[in-house]
Amino acid sequence: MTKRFNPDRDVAPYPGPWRRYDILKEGTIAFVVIAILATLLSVLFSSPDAKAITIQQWGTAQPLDFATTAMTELDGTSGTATYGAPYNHNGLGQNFAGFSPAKFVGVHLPIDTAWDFVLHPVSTLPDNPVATGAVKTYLAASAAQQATWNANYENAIAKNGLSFTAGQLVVDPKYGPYGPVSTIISAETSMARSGALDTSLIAGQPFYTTNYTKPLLFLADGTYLAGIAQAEHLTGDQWGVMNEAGNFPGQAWLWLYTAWYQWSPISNSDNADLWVFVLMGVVSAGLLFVPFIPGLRSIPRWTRVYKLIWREHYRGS
Amino acid sequence: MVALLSMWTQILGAVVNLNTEGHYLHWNNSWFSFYISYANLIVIILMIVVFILALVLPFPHSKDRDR
Amino acid sequence: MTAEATTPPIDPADADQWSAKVRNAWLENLPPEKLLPDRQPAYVASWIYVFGVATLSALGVVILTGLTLSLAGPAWWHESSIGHFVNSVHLWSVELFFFTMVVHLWGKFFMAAWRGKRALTWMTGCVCFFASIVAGFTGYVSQSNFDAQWISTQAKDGFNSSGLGAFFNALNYGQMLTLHITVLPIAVGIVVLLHVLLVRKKGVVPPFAVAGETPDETTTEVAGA
Repeated sequence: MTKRFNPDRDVAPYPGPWRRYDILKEGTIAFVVIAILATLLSVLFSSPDAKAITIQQWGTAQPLDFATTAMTELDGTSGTATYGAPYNHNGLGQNFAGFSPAKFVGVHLPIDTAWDFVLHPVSTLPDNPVATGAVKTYLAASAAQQATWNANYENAIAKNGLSFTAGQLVVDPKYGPYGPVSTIISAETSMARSGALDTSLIAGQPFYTTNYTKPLLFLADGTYLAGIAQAEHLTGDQWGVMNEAGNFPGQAWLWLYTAWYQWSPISNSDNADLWVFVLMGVVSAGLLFVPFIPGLRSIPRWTRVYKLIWREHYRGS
Repeated sequence: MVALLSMWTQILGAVVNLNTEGHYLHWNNSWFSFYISYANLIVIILMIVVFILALVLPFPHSKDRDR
Repeated sequence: MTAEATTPPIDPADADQWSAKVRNAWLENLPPEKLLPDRQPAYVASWIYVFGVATLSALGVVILTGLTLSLAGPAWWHESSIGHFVNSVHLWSVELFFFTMVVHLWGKFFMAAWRGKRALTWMTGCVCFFASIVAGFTGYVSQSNFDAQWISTQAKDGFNSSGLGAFFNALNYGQMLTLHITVLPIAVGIVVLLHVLLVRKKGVVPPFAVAGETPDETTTEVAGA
């Protein structure tokens, strides 16, 4: 069975001419050139290495922001606490008309922010019966009582009733009662400033560990990490996905991925990430299946850039 | 040997320091915002220039051909 | 008296064996003169053709510098100026890798390099591109510095929204690092190998026909195939 010749899909057999070609020599020359170029660029520009941020740095530089974030972890209103899958069941997550792929897959990285980020670390403090006692009191109280204490503390924060003086967190009593909450948050803040919270938050064995999910989520819930990123032009609305710190080139190949986020229907959507994931899937499939897509696969022939590439061949024939 | 390498890599740390504050080009309107670093812009422009040069520059070849 | 190695003669009766089948299929599709040619079509005469081998070369430098970094552990480059230099070469070779790969992609697109039953060559090339982006991502979040902290906390939302985040946790440094230095280099390596072998098997795509030379019937014979 013969098909009609389609110039965007088929080729005619090539009868010649041929010329000498040494594939190994070509490969060797290319490797040496690229290796020299990479070395030259490294000598000229080096590479960035901004030190990692610790929770200790956060607690020291911005104790109020830290304490405010810790409170949202305790009362379950933080970004992580309300995230939904894969961390917890407290949110639907990004969805299309109610269907959330994340929720469908389920909670595989369980995090209870109140316990994991606040109550458990504070309960491990040695020689601090006031702090550990406060945790016991909180856990023994009813949910309604906990909610009242939490709401009062949040109200104090909202009304600028929280301050940091002489190394201590001070909350204005007029918005209370706070029960054990003010003790817990103060102890948590001191723990952060000492560096003990960094270690306490790391998942897995207490000695060796390589999983930083918990401290990173806690950091990301505050504004300290984001503030540094903003200064380095790395945030989403700064096309941060493409950028590198300083004047280094970043990941220019991610231009289309991040461009979608700057378009208002997506940038204003709560489901932006899901939309972009699907759109990039469609675009990637488009690229993958170009050989089979009429019109798209005709662009090379229509634009005639090939006439430049094969000009010698056309001159010869 | 290691000490010598270490010395050279410290001296040649970076001839050009790119660790200073980045420079950016940006504009936005109500439906789209555009923000690109000069570094990335240079890389992209360079890619386009290199592509065009690759198309137009003559390619040297040996006289032996035609078999 | 020394015994010399002898190769048994090939017997057609053995052709049903697995080894014989694989050997014969290999020799049919990728004979030595295709794997290591010394001739190529005269139409391969443009600088655009160097970007494929340039991409492979950049990948070679990425792998060599990556291996060097792994010799002394993931913290080495923070502590040693030699380590930092090797990291710089690793980073710049990655930039060169994507630079040359994209120029190669543009060139192949405008040549419509999928013609003549070369669709799989095009598709494996695209998969190389996508796999490299994922491999590069795991590298960026393995840096154990501020950049890694920021990138991972932002990227997690993209992965989580699709459900992938439950299994591919950008915040799990251990997982990202081991994927970066084992699974993904092997995956990228396999797809790159398939792509290169397909190019060797099918040959470089011929030019578009000059007007008036279009055959009436399809023949998807390829030059030198």
